Amino acid sequence: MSNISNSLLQMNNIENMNQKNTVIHRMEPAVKLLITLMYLIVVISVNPYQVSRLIPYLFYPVIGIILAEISLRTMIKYLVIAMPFTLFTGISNLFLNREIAFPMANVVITQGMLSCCFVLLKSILTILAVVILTSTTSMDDLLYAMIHFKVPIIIVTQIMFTYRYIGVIAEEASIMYHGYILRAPKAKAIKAKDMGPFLGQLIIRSFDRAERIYQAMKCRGFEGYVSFSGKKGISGKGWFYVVITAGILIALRLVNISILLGKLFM
Amino acid sequence: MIVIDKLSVQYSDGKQVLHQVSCRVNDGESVGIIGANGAGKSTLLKSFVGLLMPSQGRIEIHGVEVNQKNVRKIREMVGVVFQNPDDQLFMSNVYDDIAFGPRNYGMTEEWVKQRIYHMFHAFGIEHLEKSHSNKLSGGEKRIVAIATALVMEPSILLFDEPTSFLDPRMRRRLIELLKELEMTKIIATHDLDMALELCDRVIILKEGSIYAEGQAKDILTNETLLLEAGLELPYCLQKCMDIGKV
Amino acid sequence: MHMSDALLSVAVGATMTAVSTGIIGTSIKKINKIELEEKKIPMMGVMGAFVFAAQMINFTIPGTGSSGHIGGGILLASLLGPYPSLITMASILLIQCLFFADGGLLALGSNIFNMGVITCLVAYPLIYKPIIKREMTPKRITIASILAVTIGLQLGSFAVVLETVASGVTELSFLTFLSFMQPIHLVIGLIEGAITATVLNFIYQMRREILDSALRKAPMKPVSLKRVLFIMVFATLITGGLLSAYASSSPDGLEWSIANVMGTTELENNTSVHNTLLNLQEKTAILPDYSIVNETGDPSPASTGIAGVLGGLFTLLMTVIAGVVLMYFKKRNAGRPVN
Repeated sequence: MSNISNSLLQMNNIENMNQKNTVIHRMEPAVKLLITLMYLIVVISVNPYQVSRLIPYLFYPVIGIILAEISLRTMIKYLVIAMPFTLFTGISNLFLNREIAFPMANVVITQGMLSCCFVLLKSILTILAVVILTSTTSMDDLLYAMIHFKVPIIIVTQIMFTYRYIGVIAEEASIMYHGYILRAPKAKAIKAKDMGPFLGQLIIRSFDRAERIYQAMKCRGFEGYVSFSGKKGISGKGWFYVVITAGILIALRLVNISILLGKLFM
Repeated sequence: MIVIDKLSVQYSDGKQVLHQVSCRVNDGESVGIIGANGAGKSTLLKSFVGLLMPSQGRIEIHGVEVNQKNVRKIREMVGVVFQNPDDQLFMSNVYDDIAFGPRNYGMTEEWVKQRIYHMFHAFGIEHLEKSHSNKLSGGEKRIVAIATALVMEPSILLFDEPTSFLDPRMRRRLIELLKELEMTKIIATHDLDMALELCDRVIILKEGSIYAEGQAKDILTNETLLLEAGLELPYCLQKCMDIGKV
Repeated sequence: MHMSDALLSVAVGATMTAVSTGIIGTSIKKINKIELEEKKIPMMGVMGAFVFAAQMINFTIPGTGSSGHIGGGILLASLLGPYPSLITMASILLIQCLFFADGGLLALGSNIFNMGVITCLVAYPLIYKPIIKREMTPKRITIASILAVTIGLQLGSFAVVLETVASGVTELSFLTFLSFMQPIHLVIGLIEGAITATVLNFIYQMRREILDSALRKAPMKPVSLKRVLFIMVFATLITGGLLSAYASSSPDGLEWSIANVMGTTELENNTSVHNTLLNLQEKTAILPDYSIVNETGDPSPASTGIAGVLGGLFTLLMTVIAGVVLMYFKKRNAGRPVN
């Protein structure tokens, strides 16, 4: 089947997930956004090959997923979609760099192995962090968090509109797609030569829709500027979370817990 | 009061859509505009709020002429509910959508909040406050769309096909809701049954001109007239007449 | 081709974020000053949604069994003009990263540059527009679309290669990576270019005014283009500077990577260490023997490495246990009524 419905389903899943009411869902959106960004920066700043330094950061997604009651299945689905290119890079590293990093028991750990693990682990961590953010925060809250962090209104407005109309336009596309497939039963997808009229038609419809939306906006006094409600700042409690998380993240970055723990056994 | 005097409207490609339309709508009246496809119903509605400007003639609303200069003032007095609520609800939650108009007219957040909670209460849609429009049902979308227009406390409300996309139950609920609204209502529609139920007066448009005008119960029961305008008798009347024949 | 967070180093990610933020800032100023009529605000949003929907529609690629979808950058630029299309593209990329895990949040800057800036502010005004501007005919639309899309994608994939290699996460050499990426994107570019051409020709036939208005209302003055190029050159210099500073502070090759494994750069006797490692490998002895301590008292890379593996596994285990415990409490609490 077309992947229109799949993509819409995926968006729908996320929207349903962020309707829940858990500790993480209740956190202030701006705080969550800030924490996610800090986490990403710290994780990304770990230098290549330092797999052992990355492992402790798994705590974050594990705690996040459990507290926010996110289904593992959804998470895995995400990883599968997002991983192919990183997987390719990681595996190619395995073959390209066979220099020995260090031997261990009967096995020799090569740098390729390290960098492969490194790339894969890093991508799992970064993807999960973003998924946790979006599956616990509605688009509406994210937009307000962006406004809070001074993202220009025009960008926020664009994200708002695009997000609002994906479903509407995709629905139209889906109807057209079914109309096409029903009359071309052998086709697996739309033939390249028919894409011109197909997408062209969709563009014209989208243009007409934008025209109607514009009229509806004008009727309610639109003068070129979309206004949002007053900004909500981050509360004291919110800052507390931010500072604590920042402390933990930095501590993990400075101290290699894995190595410390490993030494206990040696 | 709305006074339309010899109104002609032309599209930018030169196509003449309305010719020499003249009529009046009194305060508190509810007027149906009916006609076949392409008769000019939507165009007439759009020209009330200056989305299309007259090429000839004029429209006056409460003594204010519809022109480029007054258009903002006009739109404050006249609310519009478009045919497709998806075109009317574009913000990221229901609250912001209803607040869009008042905010553009510089109302204070406090005022906006009060009004919106009043609307929520009146329509029983408090639970939708934080919802994204994607998540609303067809009926909920329609009600929120009406709320976005009503929040400005307009004295005139324009409806373009208010019953489209609604299931029978929701249609009934909408009709009851419209009956309760006391302001002037102008409803462009193909739903003749609804027009018969809701409207005091009906205007039939044909090819851009007024073909007939009169009391709803006179116009909508005149089969010959309706057939000539490319319409038909409301279904309920057809049914009654069938029964009468038997 | 979306860059993901995992493929970027902080230096590259930060530079690209700075570059894209700068260019978007300039674009917003431009839009606010001259270009944007208020109608474009809903128009951009809806067209953004259109590109999204368009990317969900698969078409069969003639001559192969496979199917693909379009990216839509040039399409967007030819309908909206350069600056609005860049803003729209940036919004699309952000939503993709948040809801579809396509590209990361910190990689957003790179992705906006590779797919937005390059198509909307380079390929469109330098290739597409000059061809169309003289005269709009179906033939010219076709040539302009194919050229602009193909060259845009080539530049974009080149940028991906540069950014990935500069980030140092791949072991692929620059040239190998390049020789892998460019031909693939040449093929993708030609196909997408051809599709874009047929779409634009359809619109040309049906509603020509849409294409005209994009051209007319998007005055791209040579000055502004210069500024964009200036920002790009400037950004490249900064990136280069930052990266070389970063690289020079790190030792070379093996030394560097071992230093990274250990988290220290103190490795004077690296050749001997290397030899020892090789010997040890040949002997294939058991674990405790590897705990070699050198004069300074620092553990050798081998012991650090092993400690890393063991400790890493242990941390992993602890994480899992913590997760299970947390889940247990969560479930138990869920059973209770909330007061």
